[in-house]
Amino acid sequence: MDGEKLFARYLCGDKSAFDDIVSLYRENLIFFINRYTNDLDTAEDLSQDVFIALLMHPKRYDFRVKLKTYLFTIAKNKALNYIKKAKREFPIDELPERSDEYAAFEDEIIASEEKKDLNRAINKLKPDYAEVLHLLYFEEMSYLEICKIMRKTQKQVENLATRARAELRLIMIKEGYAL
Amino acid sequence: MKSDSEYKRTLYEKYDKIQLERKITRKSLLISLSSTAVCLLLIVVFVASPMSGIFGVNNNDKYPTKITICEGNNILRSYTDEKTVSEVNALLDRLTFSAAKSEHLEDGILQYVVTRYYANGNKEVLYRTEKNVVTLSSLTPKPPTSIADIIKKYN
Repeated sequence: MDGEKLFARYLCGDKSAFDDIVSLYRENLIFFINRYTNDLDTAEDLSQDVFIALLMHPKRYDFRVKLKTYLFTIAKNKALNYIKKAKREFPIDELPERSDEYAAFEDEIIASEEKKDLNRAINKLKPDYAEVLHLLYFEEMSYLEICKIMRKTQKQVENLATRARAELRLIMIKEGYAL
Repeated sequence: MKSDSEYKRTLYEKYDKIQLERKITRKSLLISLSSTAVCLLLIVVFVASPMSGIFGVNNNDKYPTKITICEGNNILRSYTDEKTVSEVNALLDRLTFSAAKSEHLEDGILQYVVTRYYANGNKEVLYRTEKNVVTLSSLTPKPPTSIADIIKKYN
């Protein structure tokens, strides 16, 4: 069942539907937020804040976009606010420290070795390049959905994705990843 | 990394905590707002109250509630009726008075002691000397120009 139907069920009084929403998006949100925070515990905390935002203001979600897009938009804002508050730099500038915990999480969320290489290469990109490619390749979102999250026009997102792909290709060749 | 069930448990704990904090904040905000409203109300009541005397609302020390006119030890008149007090007070305002009593009075000169009593307990004592002249009633009424006239007009 998709997120929108689950959320509609939750609004109708089925509290267990929210548990299903959490199970459905939890890992993807943590993976996405971790790209900004480079800290799994923080990403986990912030992802909980995303669900809490939905619980606190359920009527703010008006079903005009997919629930996933809505949650990712909140997630991005939470992550950026956190970074601003913590005055941390984006982790994309440096290779993220691959702790055992992160490796386990990566194994859990990314099935194929090719995607793991892709993830490592994306981590080396500029933040907005990494963001657009993450949403395209890992969340398999449409340009229209990415527009909502990145608050850009479709043309801007398409241009950004083209430049990001070119940059990614260079990194993958340089690092010797499978193309 | 938390397990799915642990993640959900901490998520709902966090949510409950935030809800509780919001409830407390709302309650304290409500309390502070209502106490501010009560304070404002008290201030408004105080300002608007005739007893406060702010913005000229207080008339207690402006208009007397009783006026007495004495000559020597005799109380000639004592006005307590609101309308009469108001009229007599207006007439007295047109006359000149001295704040001190004259010790030596010539023959045929009377000294009136006019006392204005106010609702707040204050009183004002004024002295006026006038010639003891018997005024003849005229056909055309004139406005009183002396204490004698006032006494005559307001019995």
